[in-house]
Amino acid sequence: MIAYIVRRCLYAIPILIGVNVIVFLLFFFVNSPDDMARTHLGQKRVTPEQIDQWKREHSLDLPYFYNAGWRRIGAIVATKAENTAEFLTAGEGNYALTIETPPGPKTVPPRVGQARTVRIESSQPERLILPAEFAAQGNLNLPATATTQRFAFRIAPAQTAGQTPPTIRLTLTVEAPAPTQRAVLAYQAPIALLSRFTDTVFFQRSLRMLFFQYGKSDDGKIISEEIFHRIVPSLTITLPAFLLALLIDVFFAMIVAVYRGTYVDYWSIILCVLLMSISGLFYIIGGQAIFAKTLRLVPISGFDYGSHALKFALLPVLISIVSGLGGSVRFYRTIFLEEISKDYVRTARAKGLPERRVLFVHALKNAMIPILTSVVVSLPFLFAGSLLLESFFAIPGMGSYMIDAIQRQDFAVVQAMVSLGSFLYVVGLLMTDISYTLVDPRVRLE
Amino acid sequence: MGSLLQSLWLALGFQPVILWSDILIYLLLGCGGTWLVFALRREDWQVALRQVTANRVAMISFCILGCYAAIGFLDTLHFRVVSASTPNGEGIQSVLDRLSAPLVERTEKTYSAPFATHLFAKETMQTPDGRQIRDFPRLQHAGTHLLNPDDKWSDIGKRLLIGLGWGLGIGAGLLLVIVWLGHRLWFGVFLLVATLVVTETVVLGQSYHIFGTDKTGQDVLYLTLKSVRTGLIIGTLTTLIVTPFAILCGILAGYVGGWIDDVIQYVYSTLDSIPEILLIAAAMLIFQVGLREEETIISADKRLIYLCVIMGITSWTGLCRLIRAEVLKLREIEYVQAADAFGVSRGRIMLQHLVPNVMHIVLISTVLRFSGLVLAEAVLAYVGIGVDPSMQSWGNMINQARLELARDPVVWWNLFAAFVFMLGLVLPANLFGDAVRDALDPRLRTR
Repeated sequence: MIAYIVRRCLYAIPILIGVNVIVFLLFFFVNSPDDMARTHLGQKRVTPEQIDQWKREHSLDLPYFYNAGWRRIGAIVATKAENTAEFLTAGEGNYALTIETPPGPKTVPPRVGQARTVRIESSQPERLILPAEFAAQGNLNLPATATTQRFAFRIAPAQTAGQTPPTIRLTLTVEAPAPTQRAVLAYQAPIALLSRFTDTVFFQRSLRMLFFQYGKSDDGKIISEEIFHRIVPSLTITLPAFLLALLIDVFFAMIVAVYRGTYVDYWSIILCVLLMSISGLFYIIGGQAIFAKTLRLVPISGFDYGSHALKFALLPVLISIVSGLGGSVRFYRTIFLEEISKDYVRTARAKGLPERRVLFVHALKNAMIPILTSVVVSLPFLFAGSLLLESFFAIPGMGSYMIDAIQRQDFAVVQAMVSLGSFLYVVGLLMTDISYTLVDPRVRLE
Repeated sequence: MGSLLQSLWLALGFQPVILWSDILIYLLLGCGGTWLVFALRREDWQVALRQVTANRVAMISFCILGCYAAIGFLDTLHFRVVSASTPNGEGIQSVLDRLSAPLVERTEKTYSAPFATHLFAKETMQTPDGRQIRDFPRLQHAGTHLLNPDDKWSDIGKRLLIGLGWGLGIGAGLLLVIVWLGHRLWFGVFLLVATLVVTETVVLGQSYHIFGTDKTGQDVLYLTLKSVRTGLIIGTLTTLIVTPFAILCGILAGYVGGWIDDVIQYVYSTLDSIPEILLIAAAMLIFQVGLREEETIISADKRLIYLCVIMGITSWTGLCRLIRAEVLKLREIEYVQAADAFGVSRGRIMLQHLVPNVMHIVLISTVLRFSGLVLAEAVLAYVGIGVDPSMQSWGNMINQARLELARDPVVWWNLFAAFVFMLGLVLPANLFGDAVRDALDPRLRTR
């Protein structure tokens, strides 16, 4: 049994990683981090510097999957007034010069035929090793296209230790007629093996969620703390709703099953289908209008902790039960009917047991097995709260957190909720499998 | 060629426009029709059809669904009005817009209750003697023929009678024809009731707003009629857009097995683990960033298809799983074994023996998922990730009405119209779906 559970947990890992990858692709590949920054900062009047800053704050300036240790030293956007910049570098090592179109709405691609050159100068020219594209004196003619280009070069170690300073001053000059592109200078710093994989967007923004490290939301709050605070209000609604609904649904399903084949059965099923056919929104709106607004029995919305929670939770719980009634009663009824047609029921009847005892003792006990195992999967989701109810009743739980995040377009929170939701689902499946073995000794787990 | 077409449109006075969703609908109708022709040659499908047609509740439901489908189809035939002054055409319209022109043109200033003669909001008006008063103004397009608004109810009664007369006249005629042709009586009665509804709507709708008007003064009846197409598209296209993919994967996983089975199972259990609404939310948020500005109706149409695809991706897994299980059973059955023994290729076995024998699962899951999807649209619209806000849908209607619930007296008619029309679609869909399932595969029990 324990070996089985361990194995099932291991099976869950690739699934969770798969979800993680899908969500990562969805969030960071369909939209580039630049797009996301622009969405958040507003589409218009956003400077490349603001975008870079936003990306740094949200650790989106890192490489996606593998960090070779490249660090940005600085950038220069050529203007008429200023087209040269000096950078103090660490000296020996690998460097890269990237010519790119800076992110931002108002960049103009270079016109065809414009002469554009980039020049790199060093305070110790003998140590600067430039690739073949560079002509003498470190001049580089750029082709007149807008595509990003990257040039790697090296700075050799100092020849004689102690005489020359190991650091080197690089001067970058961009001669382009229009401020269209920028030159970014980067240095490859030594980086620990582990950090090569952890200092990436994929790890920082996605894989960490497997360990419940959700980071911060866009308004700067720590997501896991927020979730922690919101579980209690959610459970206040979902837990009583779940338990009461189970009792009531089974009770009604039992009664309908007792009257199987009669008009009571027929019209109950029609009624169930009718209840199923009404959108959950109408139950909520209708319930609020009747019980809170017209009859004024309970407050329209709001939440309080402790014993005051009762009056706020009453209506949401009631609505939750009623809206799920139709589907569940119909589903449990078929389970009961299946059970009633089995041999042991016939045997019990043949023994002369009263019909009531056969149904409510023998059949009920056995029918509870598929019913319980079918609801176990939804147990973890009690923590996730109810999306619509919490939003309509202004309950500060997980459901309303999610709706708010979606409406504020807070990618970090939505991503965290997806991750958490899939975790809960996997846990639910695991619990279902285990509950099968617990209630039914015939099920053997291999 | 282009100019020839242009002059043809000019002569006709309209130019047909086919949106992406229209193409999908035509494709769907075409495929569905072709498949039906092939399916009904088979014994087992004929038996199932007889069982469904013998079920009166299911057949009445089917007829109601047919009415909805007819409305949706009329709304699918899009065109632009072309005239000499506007050779490029005006805004895109549908045949339904044209048919309900009396409703479209009669917009008020803002809310008005069903059958009201006065606006719902007070306005400052000048009386003939020059004084300023604040009162509810008369509606511009409803009950204008009444000299005294107090006569409204007797007028409505009169019109109801006229509608009843017309309806009974035409409906009874149809009923007689149906009975004379030897069809079932219930079908005639259904036609009679349907005719009555139509005639009453036409008679009353011409001089009143039956379901009131919304915030911008549009007739709610028109809005809810337009929502039918959105609901139907979401209910059907969502399942069917991904069906070929689900069939392919299900059959490959079940029949070929091996590592292909492992991969497919891994993919669908992974997709399955993502809570549906969260995946849809994430995907819609992402696509929102990338949508370009176009004519509203076209971009709204694209968003609708996006939504269908995304919802389809979440619903694809269940279908794939069912098909895989069925194929696992089928591959052990004699005729597949025999085909294999005769040296029929695997591809041919899949195409000829397996595909036709899993089609009933596709049909069942389509009809059973339909109502859930129509209901889900409303929830998504509430969350703000549903169809485009400019597109008429029941979800958007409910969402807009919800904001006005705090008003006193309550603006209830938007909600009421959406409720009636949604229930009118979902209830028959549920009843019909159950009948189809019972006829094709009673063991397939779903919640």
